[in-house]
Amino acid sequence: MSIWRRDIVSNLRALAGVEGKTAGEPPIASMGTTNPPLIEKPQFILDHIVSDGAQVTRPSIDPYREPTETEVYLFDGEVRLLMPLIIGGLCGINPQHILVVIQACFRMGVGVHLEQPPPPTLHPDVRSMILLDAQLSMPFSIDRGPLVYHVESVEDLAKIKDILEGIGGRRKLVARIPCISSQQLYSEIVGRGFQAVIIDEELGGDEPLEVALSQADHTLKRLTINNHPARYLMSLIAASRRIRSSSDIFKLGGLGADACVISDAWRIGVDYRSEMEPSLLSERIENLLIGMQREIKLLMGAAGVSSFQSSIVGSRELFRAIDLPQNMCMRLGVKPAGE
Amino acid sequence: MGASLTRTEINTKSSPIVIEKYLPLPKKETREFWTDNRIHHIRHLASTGKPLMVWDRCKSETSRILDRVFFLREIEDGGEGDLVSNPLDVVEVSSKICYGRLELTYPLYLGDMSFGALSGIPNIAIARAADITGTLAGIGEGGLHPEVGKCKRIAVQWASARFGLDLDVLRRGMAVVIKIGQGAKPGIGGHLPGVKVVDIISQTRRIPVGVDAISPAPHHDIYSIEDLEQRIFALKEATGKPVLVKVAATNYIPYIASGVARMGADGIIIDGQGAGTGAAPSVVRDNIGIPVELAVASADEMLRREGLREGFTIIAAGRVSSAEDAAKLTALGADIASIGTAALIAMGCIMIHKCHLGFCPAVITNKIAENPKKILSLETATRWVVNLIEGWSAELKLILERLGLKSIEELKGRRDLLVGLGLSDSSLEVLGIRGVSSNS
Repeated sequence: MSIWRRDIVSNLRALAGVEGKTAGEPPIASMGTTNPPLIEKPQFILDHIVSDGAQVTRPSIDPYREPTETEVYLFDGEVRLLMPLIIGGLCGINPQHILVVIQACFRMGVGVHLEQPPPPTLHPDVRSMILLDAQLSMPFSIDRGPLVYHVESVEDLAKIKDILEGIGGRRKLVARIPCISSQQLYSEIVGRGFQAVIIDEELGGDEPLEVALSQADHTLKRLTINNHPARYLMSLIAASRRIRSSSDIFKLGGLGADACVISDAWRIGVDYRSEMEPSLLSERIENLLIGMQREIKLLMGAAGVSSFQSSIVGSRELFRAIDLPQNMCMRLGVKPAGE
Repeated sequence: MGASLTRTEINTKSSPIVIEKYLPLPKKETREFWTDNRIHHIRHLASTGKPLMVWDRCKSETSRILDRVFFLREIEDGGEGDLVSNPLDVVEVSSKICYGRLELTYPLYLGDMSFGALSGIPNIAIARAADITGTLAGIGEGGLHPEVGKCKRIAVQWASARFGLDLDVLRRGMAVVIKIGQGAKPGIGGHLPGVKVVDIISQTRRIPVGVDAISPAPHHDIYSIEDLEQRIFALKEATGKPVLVKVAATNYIPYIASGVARMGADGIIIDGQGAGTGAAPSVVRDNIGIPVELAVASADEMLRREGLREGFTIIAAGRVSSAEDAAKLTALGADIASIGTAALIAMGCIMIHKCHLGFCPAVITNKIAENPKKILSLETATRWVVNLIEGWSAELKLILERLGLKSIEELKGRRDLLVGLGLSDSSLEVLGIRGVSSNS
């Protein structure tokens, strides 16, 4: 079964304005849910996780009428995203569209992860929102944006030591790692001055993204940098092609991600075609992003939460797992439903 | 010639087609809890008022947690116990709720579907069926339909938008329901799409025509457990009726149930994941809330531990599809079950999930038109719901008979009669039942 179930695709496309007449608005449905894990077949751990609805003992927040804040700060406060989202997966799209995507994301306050050289004409403010693969950047260029290093092991870190010494003070450094839960690796990453980790399922690893992320959040809260918990100085980002929706982003937030990199989801959502009009692409990306932000606000409001970064990120207690074995619940740090 | 043409036109306008038959079921494109067999079962009960089966054969088609909970008796009988006969009259299914203040002939609550979400005739049919069968019908959030207001066995809902509520309306029913949440959209308010807000709805709810009626997410006068207590007592003082609190089954349900009981409510309606709705943002419907079976088991456990269970009522709602579902929920700790979607199916719902658009082919949740082309027969719809309740209760009696019990009272909290098949250790622990492997 494809991970892109029809209802998931149609939801994204309604948000982007490809389908329906209410672009940018959370789609409305009726009668009971058919969502996994109990009706549709669950495909990922995320499918077993539910969020909370606040009631009686504390009030929910009405996102239509009361403020709810989705912005997150990365790199110890230096980069501010208006929603916990980074657009990736730009390899393989029409090179003329790269700038369109970057600009649409900048307008919406969303980051971009680039694995190809950035267009040369970008304003420095826009560049600061781009996470760029390190081998594509000249070490001493005027760029201020974060640099992403592919790190699979402690040995990999040793190899890039020279580069780090040269630019560590001027560029924000990001370690992009597979889904592993190695305390030693995190400890080295922290020690070498990185300010963010992308846990990227596309790099493989021996854990599901959900587990690796939750354990990383937990580990980083225990490690210290100059007597401060490393987690406060270190941003945690989740990346996978299978992040399908705002609810996936919301739940990964609960497991510890400050932000998520989505790739297939946005391309499917805007019905990306290499020949499409740049203005249409731009419009659809903006619709999709504002719609996803509104969906995140609905989930936050329902849970009685007014700030994503303060009260959702790493707040595993707010979530429950349906129909997962006890040992998996423990590895995730999420209680079983009903407990 | 011209005159007769005009008359024909008037005739067409004034005599809509009256729906008295079920529509064929469309082919389903996605997985669905309400499978064709579940719908056929409900249609059988609604058409005949007679039992079709003892043990729910449809549970093998879906994988709810409740579908993997069995009465040990069914497994021991090995299919032998499935012969349907007339149930014995000695088995008693009447139930006293709300500290004994309300007596129900059959242990069913007809769940809280508003006038507006439903198009009027279904609301009247449900309320009349409650009067005929001695059950209780929640009227939902949309104010009181004048014909529903003539029925006795209704529970008036006091929800966050307070649509069309005044003292007179509050006193009309046998109970008041404070609606804090619902299973299909925990943490957010009711939602009636503007397309369905026509004149009559506008008058009943006292809101403008054509505008989405989105109720506040919280009650803006209930921000804490203390606030809830004040409202419960105010409503009791104003009406002299029992007060139930309706909540969604959510992560902190045992604490919520304990708070609701401690603050003086007479009962709690726990509405689980998968419950129906006329309209909800899909992101909320699909990602918030837990199954009612887990919620009921853990709420019951907490209330017992705190000495709050006696006399207090737990009503279990959300995907209650058969008498066996109701029986298992009772054994897990509920007093009575609530049916909503099942009642709609009895009235002809074919589960196409289009209620929010206002074009219901079964004319149950359609937009109310001045000159409708089709209307649901009130008489037939009422008979269908009455039959459903009677056929359902006959199946419930047969289950109790198989379990060797004389009354529904004897089933309450009997988790020892249940086993889980293929359930995770964490689910078994919350349910408080034994697991058996699928080989045994």
